[in-house]
Amino acid sequence: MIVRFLDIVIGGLLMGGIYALIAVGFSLQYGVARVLNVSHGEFIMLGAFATWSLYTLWGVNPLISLVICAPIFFIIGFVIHRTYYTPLRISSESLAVFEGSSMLASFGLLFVIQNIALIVWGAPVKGYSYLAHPISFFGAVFSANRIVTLLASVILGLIFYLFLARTRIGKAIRAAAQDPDAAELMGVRIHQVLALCFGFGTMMAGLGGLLISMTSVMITPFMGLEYTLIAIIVVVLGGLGNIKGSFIGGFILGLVGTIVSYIQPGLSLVAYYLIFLLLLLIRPTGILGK
Amino acid sequence: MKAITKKYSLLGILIILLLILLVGFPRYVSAYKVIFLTNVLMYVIITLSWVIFSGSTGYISLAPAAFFGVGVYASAILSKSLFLPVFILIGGLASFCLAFLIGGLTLRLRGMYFMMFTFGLVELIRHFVQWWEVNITGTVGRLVPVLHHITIYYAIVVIFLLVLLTSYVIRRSKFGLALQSIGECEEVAAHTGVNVTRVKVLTFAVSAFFIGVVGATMTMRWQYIDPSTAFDIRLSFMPVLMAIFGGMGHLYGPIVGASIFSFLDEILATKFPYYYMLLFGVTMFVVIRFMPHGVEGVIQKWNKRERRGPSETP
Amino acid sequence: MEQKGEKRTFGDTMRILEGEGVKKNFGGLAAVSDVEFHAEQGEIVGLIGPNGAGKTTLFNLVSGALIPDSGVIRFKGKNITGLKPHQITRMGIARTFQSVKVFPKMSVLDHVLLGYLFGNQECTRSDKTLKEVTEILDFLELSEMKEKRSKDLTLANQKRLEVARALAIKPELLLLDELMAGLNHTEVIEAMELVRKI
Repeated sequence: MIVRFLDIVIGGLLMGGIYALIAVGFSLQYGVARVLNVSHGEFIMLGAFATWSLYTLWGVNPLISLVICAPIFFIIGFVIHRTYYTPLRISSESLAVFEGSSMLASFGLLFVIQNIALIVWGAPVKGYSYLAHPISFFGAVFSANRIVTLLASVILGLIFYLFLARTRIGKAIRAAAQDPDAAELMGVRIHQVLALCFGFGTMMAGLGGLLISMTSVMITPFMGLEYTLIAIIVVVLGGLGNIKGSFIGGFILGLVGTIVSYIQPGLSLVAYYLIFLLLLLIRPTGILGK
Repeated sequence: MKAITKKYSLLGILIILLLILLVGFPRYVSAYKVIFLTNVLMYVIITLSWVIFSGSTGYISLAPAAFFGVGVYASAILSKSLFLPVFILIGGLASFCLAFLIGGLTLRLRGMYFMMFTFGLVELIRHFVQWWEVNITGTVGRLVPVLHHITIYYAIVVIFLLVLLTSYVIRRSKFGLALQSIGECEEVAAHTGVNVTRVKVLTFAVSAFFIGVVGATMTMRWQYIDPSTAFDIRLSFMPVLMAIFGGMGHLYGPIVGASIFSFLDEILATKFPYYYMLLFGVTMFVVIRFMPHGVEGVIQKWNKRERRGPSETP
Repeated sequence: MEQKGEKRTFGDTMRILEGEGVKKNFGGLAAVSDVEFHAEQGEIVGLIGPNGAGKTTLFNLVSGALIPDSGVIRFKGKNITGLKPHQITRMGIARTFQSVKVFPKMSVLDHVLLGYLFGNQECTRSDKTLKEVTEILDFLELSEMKEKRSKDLTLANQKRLEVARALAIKPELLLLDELMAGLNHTEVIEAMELVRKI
């Protein structure tokens, strides 16, 4: 009985850790930079593939890949924002128009990235095994790699939290999240900050993909959309623009997913969407939102 | 006065020519071309229907895939026992009711939230139907009796003309004026006596009706359907893109946009199967960044330059 | 406000609008607190107060844009508290907005047409429609601009347009919210004359 319970709870937390990470990334992109980046999942997919390539072709330990991938993904996101979204924002008549068009542009990005992945890695499913040995926790069994991903998510989350709370750039980000125009008047170089946030978003997506790939999941060019949708749901759950909320929301959703899977496998996605729709109708500001 | 009658009679002749072309088309060309045009018209219909609601109110709906899928399933389930016009009408009505229900619940949500809701709705329905078919009825994937491609072509042409007519009538009517007012400033519209909720929900439902009808019709070409093809989310994004590409201010924008886009879509998919998505994505990038009002916007800019005359520098 | 409707007298003049105990809070702020107000038919009533006093909130409560937390508002004796804006408009209350709210891409003519078709009891197009709409446009001196889009008008003309739209509703009660805001001296005088004409 206890084993079942632990199975569900810890399983949920393990899933939740990854959800939390990708949700925070998405939240940065939408909450601050106001880009509803539907290609978020594609960066997750890229992260998974990159790790796979590094591991299977050059024997690089995934945990070391973390350090390699983080800056690369950050730069990619930063550049994309600076070169495309920034001028788009400037030329948009209003914020609402920008939100709409940036979302649609992200679709274009989605197609582009998916196609590139198809060309580079091909359609057949990939996977690798790393740290797959089981660890037992009061009778509930989990593979070591999943526990490592949980730890990694939490540590990364903490690092980012400290970054936001303690550094100057973090303050600038928080200011931009609340009121970009006012922040600009206060001397914040707003376009730099927004691009920074977008870059952090893609970085977290890449790292999320890295961690996901470690859990022996199937890696394919089409795996991204599912995670994008989960990120959206978590962000709404935690409150749009609320980064802490997205982090906690990820864990909540992970738990919900494992509970539902236990009761009726195959319905977890249905449950996610139901929650999503109910939230939008009843409390769009999220459970933890202001 | 003479200029206007001249313009209208020219338009009238064009329309009659077009009708003759559409009706006579299948006799003189290959089956492939007929099927091709059927697909293009399908997208045109979906885009026009989408514009009826989203173009005027400004609420971006990503629900078309849901309404299309409802039509598909109505067809799949009923086509064995009923005639084509009957079951596609039922498909349309089912979508109408769904939209009425959904609209009533959600049209008070702010723009972004409404869009996300419609998106989530499509996915919810898809996953739910999948789960239902796997666990309860055991029929994932259904075989559908196929109708002759020319029958379907004519059905689609009729639907196209109906949507066109409906769009035109709505735009010119009191109802269309109310829609425009809602799109420009909902609060003031309400204070001018417009029953905003009722207008929005009705329009949403009418838009859904046509999408459901076209979904039910197209099913008869596919032979096999399952939840993923019926509720394919791409069917929700395509009309948005096509409408943006073509422009939504006038009636011709969505038609032009959808036609060009689906035409390109077909050609790219056959000629560059490995790069097709890449090209599609890049096109989107370019269109959104540099053509925010679509083809209509470009045409309007040309018109303005012409009116100014060659002696003035724009 | 004397309008195109009849003037009824039941012995004393009838109170066309009254409110009792009306309250509206926003979060912790009491915008409107236990207010009692009334207006008689045929009166011109001015609502005065410093910025932030809650004048627009009161207008919003009367027009249905907001619902009071408590209290009752009556129009011609009927309780209109909690009704939707379009219902209240159709009953005969029209309003303008403090920050001019017009439909930017809509022509002047269409604005007034919209008010005429949706705001009053006769909701169908008839031969009378064009005649009465033209009358309203003439009254507000907007006839030459009837094809223009409202975003191309000056602020003063936009305000006139708002009044035109309001009049097209054939209201028995007209709420003008800070009509003079943002107008220069000449325009203010013109506006005051307009109010008197109405």
